[in-house]
Formats: sequence, C-alpha cells, structure tokens
Amino acid sequence: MSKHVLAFVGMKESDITARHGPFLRELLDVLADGCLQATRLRVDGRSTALGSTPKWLESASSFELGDIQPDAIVLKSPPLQDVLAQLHVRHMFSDFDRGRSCLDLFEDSLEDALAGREESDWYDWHLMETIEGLGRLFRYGIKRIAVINGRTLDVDARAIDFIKSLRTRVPDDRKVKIPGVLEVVEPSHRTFVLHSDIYQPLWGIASPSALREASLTEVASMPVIVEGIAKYRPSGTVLRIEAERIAPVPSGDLEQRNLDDELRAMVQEGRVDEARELIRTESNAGRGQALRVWAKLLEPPSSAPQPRSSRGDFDANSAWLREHTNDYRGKWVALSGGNLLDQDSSLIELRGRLRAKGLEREAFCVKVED
Amino acid sequence: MGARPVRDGEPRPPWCIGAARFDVGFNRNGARLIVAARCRLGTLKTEALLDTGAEWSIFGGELAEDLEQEADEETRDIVMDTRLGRVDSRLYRLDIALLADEGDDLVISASVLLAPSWEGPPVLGYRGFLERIRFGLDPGHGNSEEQWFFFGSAS
Repeated sequence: MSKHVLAFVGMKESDITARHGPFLRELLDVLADGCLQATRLRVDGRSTALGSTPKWLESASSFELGDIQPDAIVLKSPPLQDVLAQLHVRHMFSDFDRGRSCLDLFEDSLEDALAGREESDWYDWHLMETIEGLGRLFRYGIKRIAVINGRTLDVDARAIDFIKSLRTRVPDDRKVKIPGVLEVVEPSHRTFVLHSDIYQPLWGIASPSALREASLTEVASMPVIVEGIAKYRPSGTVLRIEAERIAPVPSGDLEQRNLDDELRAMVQEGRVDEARELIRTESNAGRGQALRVWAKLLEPPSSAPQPRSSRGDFDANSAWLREHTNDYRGKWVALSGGNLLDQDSSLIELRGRLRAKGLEREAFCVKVED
Repeated sequence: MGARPVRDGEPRPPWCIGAARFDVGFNRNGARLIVAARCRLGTLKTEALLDTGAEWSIFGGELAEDLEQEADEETRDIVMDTRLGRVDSRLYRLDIALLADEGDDLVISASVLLAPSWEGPPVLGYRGFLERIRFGLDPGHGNSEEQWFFFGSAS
C-alpha cells in the first residue's frame, strides 16, 4: 500500500480543520474523481466516458482514508497491478510502473499540470477541471495544500489559476477523418493506435457503433479511415481520437487520402514550396487529376493590369473618414468620392443593399474604428 | 504614369504599372492597419493590412462570409497557427485588385484564407498574393501626400 499525506498549510487554530465535514467532503470529492480519472486516462487514454463506471475502474481507483489530523490527512491505496491482474486488463494507454497506485497516478497528473507540461499524456481537459476543484478548499482558510509522498507538490491559489489558464489553451474538439493503419491495443476496451504517414501515432478509442463494416480485430493492420472527434493537449497536438466510424479502404483510395492530408499538413506547417513540388511530381507521374483542387489553390498567383478604377477617391474618402469617425464608430460605411452612400452595422446587409443598387463595385466599404 | 512630378529614383514602368497612396496606422476594419493598401476583394472595394510577415492573406468575420459568396467554389480546409491562436479556415482562389491612383490597377488571381472566426485585421500576405508581385513603398517624409505604394507584376 502506498501512503500519501495531504497537509493543509496556513490553517489558523480558530479556522476550520480537516475534521470538519464539509471541508472533508469537498476534498474527498476531488480526490475520488481525480484518482478515477487519472487511472482511466492511463488505462483507456481518456479520463471520462458516458455511462456507469466500469467495475475494474472502481476497484483500481479506490483508496483508504487513514489518519485524520487537524491539519492533514493520510491516504493509502494498493498498487494497480494487484487490481488489474484480477480484472484481466493486460494493456495500458501508456507504460508505467504497475506497482504504482491510483493516488500515485493522480499525483503524476497533478505534477505535470503544475509544471505546465503541455505535451503530457497524463492529464486532459476533464482531469484539469477536477484538479481545479482543489481551489474550493482555500475558502476554508488554508493557504496551501502540500501533497507529500516522497515528492512534495504544493497547490495554492496561484497554482490553480495556472492550471485554469492551461486548460483554456486546450483547443476545442474537432471532427477529423484520418487514414492510416490500425494497431489494436485492447479489444475489450476498443482501444487502438492509428499509424499514419502524416501524424505521430495516435491513440484512439472506438465507440461501440464505430465498426459498421468490420470488427476491430478484423481491421487490425489494414488500411482504414478513422472518423471521429480529436481531443487535444494544451500544446495543440492531438491527445486522442474518439472514433465514431472505422472503415477499411481500398489501397488506391488510401493513397489519395494520404496525399490530400500530406498536402494539407505541408500548407499548415508552412512548407508551401514542398507542397508545390509534390503536386508537380504527382502530376508528372500521371496522378495530377486527383490533386486538381490543391494544384489550383497552391498555384502561384498570376496578375494582369486593368484600367484604373478609383481616381480621385483617396483624398476625398480619407477626409470623410477623418471628419465622421465619431459619428459612425463600429459601423461599416460605403463611400464614393467623399460622399456617404450607405451605412450599416452589418457588412452583409450593407453589401446586399449596394448590390441591389448596382453600387457594389463603386463603393469603398470600410468599418470605422470602434 | 501620371502628372505628378517623378522623384529621383522612383519606380517607373515597366518595373511597376501602378501606384497608390496608402494610409498609415488607422484603426479600421476592426484592427489597427499599419500600412493599409486599398484593394478590391472580389467586388468589395476596401483596405487591408499589407504584411510581408504574414504567410497567407486572411480575411475574417463578416468579410469572410461575404467573400465566400464570390470566391471560387473549390476549397480545402486549413488549420493555421497564428499570433491569435489556432484558426479554422478555408483556402480559396479569389481575384484581388490593387487599386491605383496613378497608372493601372493590378488584378491578382490570389489564394486566400477565409476564416469567419479570425478576429485580426484583413491581411494581404505573402503566399498566394505578394509572392509574385513587384512592389515598393515610398514613405516620403511622413506626409500622407508623399506616401506611395508602387506595384507591378513580377512575371
């Protein structure tokens, strides 16, 4: 059993103590949820899921309440190997010493969040939100919580604010469609690793309805398209894919999708010349038709002169803007030759009216500073 | 290119085909435009930040929604990391004209990002736009009448 001490620093004698019921309830809420989420994250790769808590998780994330002192509590929990072996859980999301307990895992997550390790696999959005619950304890008069177990982790109000700011940096979930080859990790948990040419290996979890065309083990090592929701780390990299559909694809289709994603990745990473070269190479190899849209979008710009269309407008329109800024703050205005043609708080509405009057090319439209 | 006296060393045709006055440091179109070039985006005559440090041209908010009606239909989704965070956008082909006060306008068949969630200024950036334009800025002596933007085709 591993032993963990949580010391509450800064409590005055007159203040509430760790024996106080509401204080203890709030603390244990955070710890129970935190241990459960940290354990699930290590095993499944996600800290939360819909539905009731699985039996293995309840067992693996349990801990005992030991000594309760006025300014500290002692907790104990068994090593995970004792629990998971009985429950036939063989594989894990990330390798770690199975002699560690759920409290150790929670502390690992807490340590990474406190250190601002944006690439960590050991916390996600929901677990960070749970950790932030420790902040509620400060209203009982304590200044700092020291989590002691060989290492000491200090949690104070500033640390909670830091974790909150870290959580706000996690990009929103996005729908994704990624080609690759599937490596099944734990069929009973529907967990997998997706290997693609574009991304680092991605951890994933398949929903029960994800496999319409084949079971998870049947598509292992085959080219597949995985569709689902990408969950992100604070750094912006993908933490995991929650797959809603996994379908095998013919190799020719996979090649096309790979090229599409490769070009997209090149553009997103600023490798535009490389993307243009790839399009040239593929076109020379007779595969240009498949990349027609990318070829058009990445074609270097061409230009041509056209008779001047705005003679005399600059000074007159600039003068109007200088004189009327205060009258039209935050509004879109349509000007021509120093005269106001129309104005609106919506550019779409304004342009609609200008089109109806045949003035859409003549009017100089600009949003006046707020 | 026009009746204005030409200053020593000033770009002239065929180096450039047009020249335009430009604004400096105005808060317009929802942001501060340090060098604001007057342009026509599709059919919309407006002004945008001329920014050689921006990888792509990008237009946000209602401007993006309006331009989506005029841009080429074929597009690809792109997620860009910007100084304002990650932005979901679409890469489009769109005609942009640099509007001349002297000489001719220059119409560029450009590639631009339209991103309704982009909260920064409308930007004329390098890839898909400036990369094939020959251009120069003459700041004069800080007087707006002396500030000229010269442009022409690089090919």
